[in-house]
Amino acid sequence: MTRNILLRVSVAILFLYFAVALLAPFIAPYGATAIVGAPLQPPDSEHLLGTNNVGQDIFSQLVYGSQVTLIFGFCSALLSVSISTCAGIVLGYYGGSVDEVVCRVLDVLMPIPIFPLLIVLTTFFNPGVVQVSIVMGVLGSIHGIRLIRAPALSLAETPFIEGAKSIGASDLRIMSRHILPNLMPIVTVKFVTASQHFLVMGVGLSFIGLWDTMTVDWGSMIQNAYSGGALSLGLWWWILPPGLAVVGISLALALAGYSLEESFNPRLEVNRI
Amino acid sequence: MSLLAIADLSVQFESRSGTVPVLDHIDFAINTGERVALIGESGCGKTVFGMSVMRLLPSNARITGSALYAGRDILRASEREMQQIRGKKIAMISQNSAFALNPVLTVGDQIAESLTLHTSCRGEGLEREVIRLLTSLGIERPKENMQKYPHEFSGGMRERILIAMALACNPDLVIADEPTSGLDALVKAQTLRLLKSVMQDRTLLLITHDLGTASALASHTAVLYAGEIVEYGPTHELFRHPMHPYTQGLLASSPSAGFHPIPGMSPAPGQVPHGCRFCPRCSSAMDRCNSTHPSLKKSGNNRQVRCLRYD
Repeated sequence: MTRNILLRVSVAILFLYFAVALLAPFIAPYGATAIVGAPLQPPDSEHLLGTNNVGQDIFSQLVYGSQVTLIFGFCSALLSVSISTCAGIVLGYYGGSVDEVVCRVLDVLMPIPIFPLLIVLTTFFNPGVVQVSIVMGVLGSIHGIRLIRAPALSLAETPFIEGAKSIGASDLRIMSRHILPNLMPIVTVKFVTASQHFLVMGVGLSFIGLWDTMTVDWGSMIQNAYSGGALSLGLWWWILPPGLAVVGISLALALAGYSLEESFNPRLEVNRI
Repeated sequence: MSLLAIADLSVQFESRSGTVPVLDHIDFAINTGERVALIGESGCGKTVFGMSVMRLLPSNARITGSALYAGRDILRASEREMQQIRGKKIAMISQNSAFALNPVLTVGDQIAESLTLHTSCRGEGLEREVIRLLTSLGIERPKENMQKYPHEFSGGMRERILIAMALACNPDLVIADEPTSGLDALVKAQTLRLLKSVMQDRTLLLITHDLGTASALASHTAVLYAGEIVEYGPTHELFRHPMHPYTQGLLASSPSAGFHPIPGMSPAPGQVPHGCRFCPRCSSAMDRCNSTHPSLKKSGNNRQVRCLRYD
C-alpha cells in the first residue's frame, strides 16, 4: 500500500507542475522579463516571492520558467526513450551480425559522459534549447538501447512470438503488436527516470549558461541569484524558490519511477527507507 | 493428389562445431482428409519437421529437397508468400506452455489476429467470428471470456484457445505439435476428444511422442527415428502389427504393454551409426545391419518399413 500512496502523491505533484506550466499566463501576475517593481524587494502581497536585482517578479519568473524546464526534460526523455525502444526492439528481434556490430559500437559510446560532451558541443555551436534537447535525447538513448534490447532478445525466442509467425504475422507487426506491449513496463519506468535525469541535467546546463541566457528557466534563475550575490546577502526569496521547485519535481519523478518499477516487477526486492 | 508432398527433405543445422544433420531424405505425403501422426522420441527431429513445413526454422538451418503444397514448392517460396500461407493455408497448434499465448493481449485479440491478417473481417463481424470459434471449441460465455488474458485460463482452456487460433481461417492443413503436453490425464482426454471432433474432416499433421494421442487422432502414422522415417502405415494396422523393431520396442515400452523400455539411447544427431541407425539398440539385429543402411521399402498394402529383415 505504501507504494501505491507514494505513486499517487508523486503523480499529484507532477500534475500540479504540469498545470502550472500550462496555465502560466493565467497564474503569473506579471510577465517573466517585465520590470515591475523596485529591485530586491522581499516577499509581500504585491510580489508573492519578492523581486530580483532588476525588479522582475520572482513568482512570475518561477511560473514561466517551469515551461522551458519541463519541456526540456520531458522532450529529451521522450526522444531518448523512443530511440532506445525502436532500436532495442529491432536489434533484439533480428539479432545477428548487425546486432553484434551495433552493440560493440554502443559499448564504445557508453562510457562517454554526456554532460561534458554537451559543454564542448555548445561552446562550438551555440545552440538553443531545442537543439540541446535533441542532442541530449540522442546521446542519452545509448544506455536505453541496451536496456530494451536484452528483454526484446528473450521475447523474440518465446513460443507466442513463434505462434504469431505461424499465423503469418509480418516482422513489423510482431515487433509492434507483440513485443512492444510486453516491454511497456520497462519503457514507462525508463521514461520516468530519464525525465528526471534530463530535467535536472537541463537545469544544470542552463545554470552554467549553455544556452541563450535570456531564456527564463529555473537554471538561469538560480544562476542570476547566485551571481547576484543572493547567498552572501541572505536574499533567500531570490535563490530558494527555483531551487525548491527543481528539488520538488525531481523528487516526484524519482519516487514515481521507483514505485512504478516496484509495482511492475514485484520480484525486485527494494529495501524501503 | 496429395495436399502436401514432401520429397527428399533434409535439414541440417550449422553450428560452430560443424554441420549437424537432423532430418535425412524424408519422403512423406499427406492427402486431403488424412490425419497423419509423426511419432518418435525426443530429439528425433519431429518438431524440426513441422517447423520446416512452416518455414520457421532458425537462420542456421539448411533445408534441401522439396515440399509441394497444392503444386507449389513452399521450400522455395518467398517470405512474403509464406506469410500468406501461414495461418491461412497451413496453420499450427503450438506446444502448450505458459508462454504459448502472449501474456499482455486478450485471448479475443489473439484469435482475431489471424482473421485480421487473412480476411476482410473487421469490427462486429470479427467479434462474431471469434465468438463462433470459441463456442465451437466448447468455451462457455465466449463474449466474456474473449476479454480475458491468458493467465486467467487453465491449461485445458488455453489449449482450446490455441486450437481456435489455428482454426480461425479454416486452413487446409493443421500441424499440431504435442497438442496435449503439460495437461493432466483428465483434461488431456477431454482435449483429445475435442481435437478429434474438430479435426473430423480436416487434414492434420500430428507431431507427438505419445502413442495414445497418435492412436486416438491419426488415420496414418509415421515413425521417425534419428532423422529418418522407419515405418509408415495406417494407424490401427501399424499399432496392431508393428513391423520395425523400433516400433515394436516403442509399443512394448508403453505402460499398458508391461513397460519394457528399449535399451540404450537414441543416437545424437550427427553421430548416427553407418548401417541401420537402430542397429545398436535392436534385439533382432543381424550381422549386415552393422554395415548396410536399409531403405524405406513398400511392404504389403500401404505400409512401408525400413528394415533389412523385410528385404
